[in-house]
Amino acid sequence: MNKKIIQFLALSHLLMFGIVAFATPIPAEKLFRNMDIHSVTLSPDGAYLATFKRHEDRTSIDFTFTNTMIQHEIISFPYKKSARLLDIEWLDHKTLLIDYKHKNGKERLQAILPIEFKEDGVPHTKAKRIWAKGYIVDKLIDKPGIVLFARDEGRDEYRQKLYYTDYATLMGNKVREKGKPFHTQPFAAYHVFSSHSDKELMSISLDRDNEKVDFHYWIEGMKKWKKAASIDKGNYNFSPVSLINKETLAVLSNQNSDLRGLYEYDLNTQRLGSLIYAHPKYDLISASFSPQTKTLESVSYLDHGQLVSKYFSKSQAELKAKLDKAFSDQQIAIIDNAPLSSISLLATFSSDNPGQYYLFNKNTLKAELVGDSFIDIDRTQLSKAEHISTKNRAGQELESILIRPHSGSNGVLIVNPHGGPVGVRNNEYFDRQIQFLSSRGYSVLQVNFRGSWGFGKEFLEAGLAQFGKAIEEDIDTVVDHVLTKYPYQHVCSMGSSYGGYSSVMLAMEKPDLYKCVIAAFGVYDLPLIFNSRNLDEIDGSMEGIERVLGSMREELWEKSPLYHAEKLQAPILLIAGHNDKIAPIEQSNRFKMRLEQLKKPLETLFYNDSSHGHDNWYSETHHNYYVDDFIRRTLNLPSPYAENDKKSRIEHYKSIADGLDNGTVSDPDSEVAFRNYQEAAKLGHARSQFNIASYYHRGEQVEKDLNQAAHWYQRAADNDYNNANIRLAHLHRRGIIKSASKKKALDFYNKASESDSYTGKIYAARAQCYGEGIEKNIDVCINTLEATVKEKFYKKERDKALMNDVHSIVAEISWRIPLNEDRTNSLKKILAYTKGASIFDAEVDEDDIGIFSKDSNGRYTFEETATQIPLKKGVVFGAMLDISPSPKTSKTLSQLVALKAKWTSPIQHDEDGAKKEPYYYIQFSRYSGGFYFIRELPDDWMQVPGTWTLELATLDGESLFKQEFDLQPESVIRKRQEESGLGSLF
Amino acid sequence: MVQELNRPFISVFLALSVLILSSCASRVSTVQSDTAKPIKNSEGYLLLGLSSNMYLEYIVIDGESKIMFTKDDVRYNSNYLFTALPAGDYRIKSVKTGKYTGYSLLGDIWSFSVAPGTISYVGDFQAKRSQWGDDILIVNRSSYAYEFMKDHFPSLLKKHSIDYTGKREDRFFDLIHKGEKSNNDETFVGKGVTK
Repeated sequence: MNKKIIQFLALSHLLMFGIVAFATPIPAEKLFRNMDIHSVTLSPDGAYLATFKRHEDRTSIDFTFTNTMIQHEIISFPYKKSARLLDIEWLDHKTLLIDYKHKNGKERLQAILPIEFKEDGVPHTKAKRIWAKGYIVDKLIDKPGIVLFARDEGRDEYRQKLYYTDYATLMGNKVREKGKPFHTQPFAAYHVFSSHSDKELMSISLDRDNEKVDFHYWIEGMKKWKKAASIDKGNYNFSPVSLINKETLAVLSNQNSDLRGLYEYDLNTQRLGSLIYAHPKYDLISASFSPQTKTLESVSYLDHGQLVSKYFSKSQAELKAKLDKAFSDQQIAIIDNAPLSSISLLATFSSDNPGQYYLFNKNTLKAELVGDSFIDIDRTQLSKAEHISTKNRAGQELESILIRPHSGSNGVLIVNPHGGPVGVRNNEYFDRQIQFLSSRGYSVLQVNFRGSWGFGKEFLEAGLAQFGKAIEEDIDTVVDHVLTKYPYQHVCSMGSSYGGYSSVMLAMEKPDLYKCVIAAFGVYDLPLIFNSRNLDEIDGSMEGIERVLGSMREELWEKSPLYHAEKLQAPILLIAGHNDKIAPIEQSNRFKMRLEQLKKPLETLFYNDSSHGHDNWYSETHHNYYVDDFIRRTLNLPSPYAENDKKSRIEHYKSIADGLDNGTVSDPDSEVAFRNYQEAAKLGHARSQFNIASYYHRGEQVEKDLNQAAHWYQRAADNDYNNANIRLAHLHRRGIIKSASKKKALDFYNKASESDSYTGKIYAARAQCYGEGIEKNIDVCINTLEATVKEKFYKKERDKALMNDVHSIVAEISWRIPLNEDRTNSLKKILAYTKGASIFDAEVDEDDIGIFSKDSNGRYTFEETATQIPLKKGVVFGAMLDISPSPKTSKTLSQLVALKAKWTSPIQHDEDGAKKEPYYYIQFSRYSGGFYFIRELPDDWMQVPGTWTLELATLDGESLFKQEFDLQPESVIRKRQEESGLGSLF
Repeated sequence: MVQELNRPFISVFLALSVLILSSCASRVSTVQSDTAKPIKNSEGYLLLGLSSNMYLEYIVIDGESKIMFTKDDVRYNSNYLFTALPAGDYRIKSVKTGKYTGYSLLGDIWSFSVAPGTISYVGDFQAKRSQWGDDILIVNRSSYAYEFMKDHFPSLLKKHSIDYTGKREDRFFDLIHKGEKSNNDETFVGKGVTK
């Protein structure tokens, strides 16, 4: 290709894809995390705001004076401690109610926070737990200090009794004794709710026998609760909104219409009456009535995925119009009103705005910013959604959302079908994953295909039993439309749940169009949905499945990717969660096996701790970095990061590597992990350099090379990764790298110690016991060890790795160095500091000596008495000894015994070529019983014939047990037996 | 919720009844090697996965013959019970979960058939204890069972067909078995034409 053609292609490429600027990738860590503001709430008098904030180390509640906007943190919940804040609301002008739970608990608990003010006006509070079981039905604004409380009566959660009660009674769990029972009690209520007072109440109860949900109501003046409606379980087309008079309830329903509208419901006849309001195109989400006048105030719905609130009174409509003008391009929700003031709390948000909270004064028409949901996100980096409207082949309008990068397109369109597929939809809200991708140059298309919610019953039901049919047909229609409007170089499909299935089906049906697939938490074998668990046959799950998927029929095999995997041409990334109960891992594993069988280009990420999605940001971050990496490698796209953006590049590589290296993903992929650590290491990331060194050290992914390991450890150490100093020191101490020396070992231990490494300190002390790189001084060595261990472990701190190193050093000293009483006592004290050992003498009885086996749980079973052991890989031999403290008394039996043990072997050099030292260790035991002293020989370098010796002694030097084992090849043992006449008679 | 709905099909019983139920059961003899002696024409193989986070003293399977097995009977480094049995109808009858406690498993959902000459994969028997109670069920994890058989008993897997014994049709084993065969045939053809 000549130069001119290349230039022309480059130019046409720029024109075609409009690449005029580089995208600025938003780091995953900035997106995949909790929002900084979880929620904000306004006090009933509008004087104060309470803000539930999340910080790096804690959650907190900030108290704000609305007149000055001065904020004070009034309480915090550090993550280190056990309480986790879940929600906040005002009970009255000066009292907050919080929901929280304990760190590892599931139960939702509540506490009351009375706000008090110091002399200087600074607010403060203290949480007081509500011990009464139940929930607050209404805060009773007109009765300060009193609430209407539904108390769980006894063990049956469906027997709730209503009481008027004050806060102290709630907190003290004295509701039954001190509370005032409500005039009349609901019937077997599952939940009771109010419409802002104790004058009108409704309850929900479950009629299990008839599989119905019953609604009851009570209006002031009625002697008893009355039944309002009885609805079939699973029919969610009846949502009570408000009682509008004694005979009429306003409900949201689509029982008699295609669209979900607001209807009158006659409480006497229990029938739907006339329509109050319906949108011509969309299902209503909610409606609200004035508690005082019972007139309709507002309704809300989703127009092209955007939340729209329509107000009916002239003044409110005008106000809304002003807000719309002030916050153009934003969706607005009034999230709190102060009934006793003119102040409201607004939230504004959009596809390219995670959200802001504003305090709005209806009188002055001024809005004041309270805070951003995400403080650390630069909104200019976010991309805006664009409406796409088309018609499907059935003539129905399809609303879709296209997010194009606001700059620097990489020419890739990602088609992103939603889950469900029926009754779910895409909205034009801020979406972390989409913004992550669009900031890296991708466009993302989301189609509200047949079956999506919000467009009426007919549209919704048109998606039933349409897996791989009408749904994908709709997506194809919209994709074709978008491709005529915007040319793309590559198209990929990506989705979760049903979207995972759909992504594969789209790519299988149009192999020329789709160049890669990312399918997460999906289903690929539709009949397996019916055949996944034996309990599904009886627990009612089948009904729900059949409603969406249709009955078990031949078509399901025809529409299952698993059974037609040969049609898939595009490389696929298959993502799944081991704990997924909705699309069990079996679905993905089957598809993986089949794709492997067909030798299709496939990568998998099966997450250990994820279910139908991730429940932690770490996995979410890993998932998304990997997705970007997968697409780029597949499509041969350049890195999204500028050459000089080292920080982002490091974050990208190390995140991918960490997830594959540390057990986040079930099948660790050390090849990919190594490759990514290598990239991060080259860019100077210290921990990655350390990890690369470890790969060379272990000989994993690369030929074992201790000098290369030392090289990378040194680079990590130069970057202040302190553990690398320890590794370098060990390599020098063991003499297994070029120019190794004990002096250098000591220097590295000392360097590590300077950064407060206790491992460095104890090994530096140890060097003095043997004169390694320093003049020998046993007393200083032991005294320093004792002082260091005391300093570290005195406060019962647990550091298992350090503890093991200490025990190993103590055992070695106790066997190798002549000890006087003082030195021995020091060693005993060390063992007392680390483990609490207090007995140093024992009675040892021989039990089983010879060959053992090891079961699947790692437990040993004695097989055969022997001292001649066949030398072969995997042989397990040694002794099981009975150990009791000496003296053996009821008091000493519960104390920890420490003895020294040693195994010597005929092996001259270990796998690294270092001189093989005996294995020294401390044997701890408590009570009286059998303890195993076992050796296993799994590796080739261990297969050396000769004598192994086990010795057990007190720290004072008294021998308690000694046994030799002669390990020889089986042929030698057999020959010896034959020669001694113990073998075969023939 | 599952636990609640599950309850009518699982009844808690005391150890005494377990003793009675298990009194005639013989301890299972598992297949240890891929080259084990052939089974009789009237026999088939039972393959059952086992996954539990609670103590399981033993599980009793009743039918054409009555067997009981423990966690220790599952193969080393795996979670599978693999044994030869007389062909016929069986059901998982009971599980003993403690010194004085256990469950009788009631209803048709615990029954299955072992076909002659066939490896019958019943599913993975899962017993999970959580703060909401015990959950006992059978889960179809055929792909993992196939991987187990391929790794540990490849010859037996080639020699015998493998079927899932669940209530509804599952074509996975057939698909993957044919795929293996097709791959092997291709390899064979390839070798044949190489000169």
